[in-house]
Amino acid sequence: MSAPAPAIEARNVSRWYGNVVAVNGVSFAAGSGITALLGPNGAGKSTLLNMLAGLLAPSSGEVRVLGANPRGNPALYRRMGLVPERDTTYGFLTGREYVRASAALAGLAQPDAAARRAIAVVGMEGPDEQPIGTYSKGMRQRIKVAAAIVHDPEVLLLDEPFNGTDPAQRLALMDLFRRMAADGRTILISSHILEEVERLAAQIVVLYAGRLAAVGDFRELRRLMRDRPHTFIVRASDARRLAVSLVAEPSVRALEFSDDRLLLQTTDFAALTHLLPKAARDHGIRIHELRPADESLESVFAYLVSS
Amino acid sequence: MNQADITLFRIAVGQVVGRRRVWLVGLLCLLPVGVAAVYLAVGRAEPDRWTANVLMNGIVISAVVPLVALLVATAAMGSELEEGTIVFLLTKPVARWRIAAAELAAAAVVALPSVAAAAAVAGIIATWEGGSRQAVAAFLAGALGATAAYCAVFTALAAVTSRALVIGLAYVFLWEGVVSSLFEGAKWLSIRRYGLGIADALAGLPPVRFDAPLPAAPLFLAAAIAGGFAAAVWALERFQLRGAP
Repeated sequence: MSAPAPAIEARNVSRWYGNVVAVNGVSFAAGSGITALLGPNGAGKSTLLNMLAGLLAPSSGEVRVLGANPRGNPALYRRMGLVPERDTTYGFLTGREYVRASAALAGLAQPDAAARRAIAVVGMEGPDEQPIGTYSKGMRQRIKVAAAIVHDPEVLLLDEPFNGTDPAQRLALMDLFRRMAADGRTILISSHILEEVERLAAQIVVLYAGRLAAVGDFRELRRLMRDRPHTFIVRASDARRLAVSLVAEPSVRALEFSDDRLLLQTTDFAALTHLLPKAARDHGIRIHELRPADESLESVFAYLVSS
Repeated sequence: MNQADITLFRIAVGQVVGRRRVWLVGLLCLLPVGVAAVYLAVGRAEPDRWTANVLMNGIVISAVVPLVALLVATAAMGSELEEGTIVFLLTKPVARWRIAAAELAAAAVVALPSVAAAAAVAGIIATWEGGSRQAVAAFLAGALGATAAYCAVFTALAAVTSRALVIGLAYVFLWEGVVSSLFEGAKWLSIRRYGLGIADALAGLPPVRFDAPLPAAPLFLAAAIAGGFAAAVWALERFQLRGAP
């Protein structure tokens, strides 16, 4: 018996705008559960998500959702929900009217009851009677989620769904997505915040500069990140002597002077946390500053691409 | 008309009437009424000729009708695309022609009564002390036909380009205002001339008072409405999110 087809699939998909390549030869598949689409801003996450949502045609390759091409296939939206990053709400409608409209357009027999249920799930009872124009960004996000899940879709595509939400709202939404995933739904969440999706997704797809940087289990990504070389900037009372004391250490991969600063690269972050204070103490050197030089997400993603 | 159609229509009407430009529509419709009142107060010479050529042709059909249609059509379809709310509609299991029909219906439901009221009241005032009411009714019919056609064409324009307002104004004032008065052949691509053709056929005025014949004008109007609607559906079916990655 063959394995069931994945709910979401991208096959060597690319998308370019003129000379700018937004997504370049990306392939991945996602089944039930939560998959995170991770990458820095401009990595091509929204472009990929929009292709999966049928809102953009791939320049080459193909995407499939529930076995079908989502482009020009309105019937597929009965089984699929989308929370786009951009605000797609109508300021003149109340939250309830907006979610009800979503239910009615999905062809539900009882749109009022469905809207009430979805609004309760995202905790928007009360404010749902007010016009969306008066909502905070977090409230708009929650009402967008309610509108996307009102028809109980099998596949849910979420583009930066936690933008503008406060920590409590974020936890509530995470809880909701976990429950839906446990119910067998396929959820794809894009985010540029690693910690945000780390708590949520077991499976991860990392995009960097439009390319697939990593795909698979989150723990494997964590290991790669932990073991990558780390670079630190050290300002000390005698940086040169500190460098001499460290140069023979096997965990120190490179040392470089720049003015009064020492640039130190290590392949063993844990060892360095013991080594550096010991060297300073043994040689009577005072450390004024110690900070990572390459902890930006971009550098993490760039490393993942190169590895 | 099912539940989805009613929902689409209500949203589209909300897009039109909830905007400040609806006041501009009101002001435009007051313009011919004001001019007719001034004419009644100070002029009153040759009411049929004045009503046909100055009031109905010069103001109502040449300016009020296209501008009202342009404002409401770009408020309906144009706002959906400009503000990105079209994504909400396009990610629902609804045929694209239903969305285009709702946007066009919303534009028409605001524009047609506005133009009808403006043309009828202005025409009655202008012919208050003499003049053909049949001609007023004929121009009203021409104005309404042209309004429907402009709404369809401008709805399509708004679905195709984010510069619908500018291109629409260029069409109205350059193509219809300048080019079609210089080149007789251009009248075949002028909604204004279709509207005037209907008015001319129904008014019963001698050519010396008003003359803008256009054979089969209703067919051209119908073709403009059908073509505009088809183009709007085509644009929605091929819609792609704009912008860079």
